Amino acid sequence: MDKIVSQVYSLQKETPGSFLKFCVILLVLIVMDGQLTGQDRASQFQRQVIVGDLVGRTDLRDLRIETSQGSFPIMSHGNGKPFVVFSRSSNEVVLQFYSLRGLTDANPNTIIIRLYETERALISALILDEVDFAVLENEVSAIEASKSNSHFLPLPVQMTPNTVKLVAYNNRHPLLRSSKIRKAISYGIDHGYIIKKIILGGKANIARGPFDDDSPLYNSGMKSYRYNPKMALQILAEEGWRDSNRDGVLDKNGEPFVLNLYYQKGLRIDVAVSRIIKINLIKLGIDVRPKPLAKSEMNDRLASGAFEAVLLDHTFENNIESLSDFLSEHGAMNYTGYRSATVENYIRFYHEATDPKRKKTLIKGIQSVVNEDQPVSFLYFKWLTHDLVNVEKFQNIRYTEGPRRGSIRPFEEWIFRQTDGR
Amino acid sequence: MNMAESGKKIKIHHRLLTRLLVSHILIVALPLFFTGKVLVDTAQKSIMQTILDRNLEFARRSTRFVDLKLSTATELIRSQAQFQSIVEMTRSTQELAINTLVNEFDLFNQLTILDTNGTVIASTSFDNVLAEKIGTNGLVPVILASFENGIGYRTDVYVSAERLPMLDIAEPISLYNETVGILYAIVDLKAMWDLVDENKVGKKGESFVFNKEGVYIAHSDRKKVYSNRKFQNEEIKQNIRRGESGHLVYEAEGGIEMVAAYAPIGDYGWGAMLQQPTSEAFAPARRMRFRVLQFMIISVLLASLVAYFYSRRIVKPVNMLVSGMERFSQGELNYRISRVTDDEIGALAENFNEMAERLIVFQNRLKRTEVLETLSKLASVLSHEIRNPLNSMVINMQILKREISREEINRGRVEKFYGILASEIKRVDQLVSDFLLIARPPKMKKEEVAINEILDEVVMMQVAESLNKGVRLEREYEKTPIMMKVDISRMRQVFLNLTINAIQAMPGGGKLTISIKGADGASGSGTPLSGEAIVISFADTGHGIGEKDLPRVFDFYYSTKEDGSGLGLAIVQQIVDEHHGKIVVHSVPGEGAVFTIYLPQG
Repeated sequence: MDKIVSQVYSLQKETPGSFLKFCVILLVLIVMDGQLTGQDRASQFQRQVIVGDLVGRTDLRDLRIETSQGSFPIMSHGNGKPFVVFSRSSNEVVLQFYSLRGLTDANPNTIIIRLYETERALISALILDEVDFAVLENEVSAIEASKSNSHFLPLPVQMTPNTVKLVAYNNRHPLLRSSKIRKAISYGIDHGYIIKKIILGGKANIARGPFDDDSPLYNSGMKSYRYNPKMALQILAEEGWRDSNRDGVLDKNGEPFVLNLYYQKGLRIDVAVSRIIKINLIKLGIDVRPKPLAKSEMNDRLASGAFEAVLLDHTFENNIESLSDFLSEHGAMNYTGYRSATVENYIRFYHEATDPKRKKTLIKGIQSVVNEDQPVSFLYFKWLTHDLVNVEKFQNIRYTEGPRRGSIRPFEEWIFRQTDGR
Repeated sequence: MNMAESGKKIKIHHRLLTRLLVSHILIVALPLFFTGKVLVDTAQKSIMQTILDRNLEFARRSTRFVDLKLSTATELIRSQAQFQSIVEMTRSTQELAINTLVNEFDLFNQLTILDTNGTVIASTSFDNVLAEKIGTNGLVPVILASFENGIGYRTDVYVSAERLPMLDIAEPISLYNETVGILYAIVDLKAMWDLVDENKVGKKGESFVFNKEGVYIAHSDRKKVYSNRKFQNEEIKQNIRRGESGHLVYEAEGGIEMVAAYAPIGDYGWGAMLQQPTSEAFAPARRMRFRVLQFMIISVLLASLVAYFYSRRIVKPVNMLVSGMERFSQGELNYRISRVTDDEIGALAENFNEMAERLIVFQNRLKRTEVLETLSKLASVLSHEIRNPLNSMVINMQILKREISREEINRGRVEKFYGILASEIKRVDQLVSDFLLIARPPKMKKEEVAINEILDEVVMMQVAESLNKGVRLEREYEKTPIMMKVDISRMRQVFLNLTINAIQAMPGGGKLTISIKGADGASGSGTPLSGEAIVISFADTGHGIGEKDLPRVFDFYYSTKEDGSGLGLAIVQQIVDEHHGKIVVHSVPGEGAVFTIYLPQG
């Protein structure tokens, strides 16, 4: 109990001004502690699911967790959450469930979310049974993990539609303010090679815009930025970028074309994609410097605009709001700082329009504008990710019926195959 | 009637069926087993050798592959480092070159170009942490020293922060034979993991590569690499260090017997090894052995089955033959053996049947001959025994008639001749009675009686005659009277006939000893009967019986006496037989004869 209190106290210290909430949590824990005695309590703490993730993919500050009572942010202090944050560090958070209806001794009551620096480290943890669940984007990694540890079953999961890998440019940055430069970079990136080399088996589509070609909103008339280094060089030359000092890097007004490309730390795919972009763009004379960032750092940089280019995954929903969010100057997720009067007009017209056809036309129009302006370089739509679950230890992992059939159940609904758990 | 019923019990292993069966089975099974064993042993050895050779070949292939991979890495780095223009390249071009290498070859985790002061010029490391570390950790002088010695720089295998086996190599970047920089590569040995997967043999087999210390660099069970475990077998590690390859069967961790093949990898001191539990590796050999064994057992069972039916087919007619002979020998003269086979046994049965037919014919003939002989003898006896009294009677009746026809009848003479007539009639009557006694014996009327009492009666009857002939009668009885059930009158007849015969055999006087005693019939007791018996003997001191007459003394109408009817002893034997007894005679001519009767008691 002392430990629990000290943990909560440390939580309270980290979040000054929420003393009342602290008291509520403390009260809950005291009640919990009264209900649990001796071995019960020990077994309660043993019933844990360890979720492995990557620092480059997850920012614990805005991480939400799906429970049977809904989706809750982990770190916020909203009421009604069925769990408390038992402990927290920079790369691990322990959640303790306490009030879930129907929770039995066979269900996990503790979720540990552990962040690893690299995907390789995560795979090592999976192979050594240090993690019960992880999502791997790389099929090769998933196969390797399951092949090395038979406890794990790779469950391919279809990506959310229109989840696109893109290079987001800081449109406010002097280097990238010109759409021509962004276009030149788009021409200079070999999308096809990335898919062929990185996504083994080519299980991805080349992206031209925010919507995949099976989306009803997809604009098939968009220009394809096929790999064309000559065109890229020509545009760059037109924009005044030349290798005047013959150091292999373009320069203009004495300034070299150095592009810092931030990517999600530890993700094998992102490392490889960044390397290919670097190789592609070095050939044009652009000195790309990939830099790995933890998700939290990346979020900070995106929010503050302290970046030049970022390798991102972004999901566009099939609606104007999602587009507007990302592309409108008023959008909450407009990290790029992209501003287009035409896009703003189209968004406005869309909201004024009643004819669905016109609405669709306007959305396609926005895509055309974005395609022309290239505030981001759309790379590819990946088809699958891979959930790895320790099926030796757990059952009742996925929904087997209903609209969510096939997707992963909330962790606390999983059932230990051996009731004593780990 | 079978053997058991016949009373002649034959032990099972002496039976013809058993012997035939055993011989058949042995004839089939022994060669089969020997051939099978030789085949199985040869095949098993061959399979095992094939497995060992295959594993060794796989291990050598692994080493070639690993060696090739590492050589390729070294060569790539060397060729890149020796590419003269790399020195003259711009930094971006250098980065392009080394990033392209990393991108194309999974083997390279990271490539860094440093100058001789340890300053990083270009690196594929995006976070630069590792690259900078190389430049500042004092490694550069060591690397440069190794270059001066004319050898490339290579570290031992180590485990990275991601728990992966890594190896660093460095090659000098030279310009005009002067080292101006270092191309440093971190080689990801994980690249050889696929190889060990490919080389894994069977379900439980393992394929792995380990370094000098035995630390797993690659293992089909990844956990062993990730957890930095070591290969423990010192013998194999030493062999690897000596550059030897080979195969062996050894006991691995957990006491599992493994068949292993190993080979050294280049000059790294590393070893590639394949191992598989013997239980799995030699499973095909074991399966083959099991199948051959199954085949042999089934073959033997089938052969036994065939042998059983075949032997039975042979033995059945023999048994029928034996059974038929037994029945025939026990008097079933009309029994015939059916011919069930067309072979020699069938022919034997047929011959037997023919023999039986002929035997019956002979027997009938014999019977007819015997009847005729008996009739002839009877006629002779009758003609002799009856004609004589009749002649006497005729003569005496004529004399009597003449006497009666006289005027003065001599009463004394009439009575005399009448007496002779009566005597002759009585003689004929006795002859007929004796004859009837043999030909149509009266029904037995057995009664419980003390045997000595009957003998006493007989002795009393013959006392006068014996005295007259100067014969002394002696009786040797046991103290306790011996009781038994006999037909008293007929037994008296037996004793009387033997007593009369004995007295008649001693015309000049002598001694007749009559004795009674019991005997238990055991071996050595001298009785021809089984079970308890009463032995009654009549021993005289007369002239005895000649050797040639001895076998015939009990024959009908055989007599050595001039006035003997030849019926007395025959009657004796018949009555003794009717009492299920035996009578035997011993005689030494000139010394006397002993007639001994054995009567079963109870």
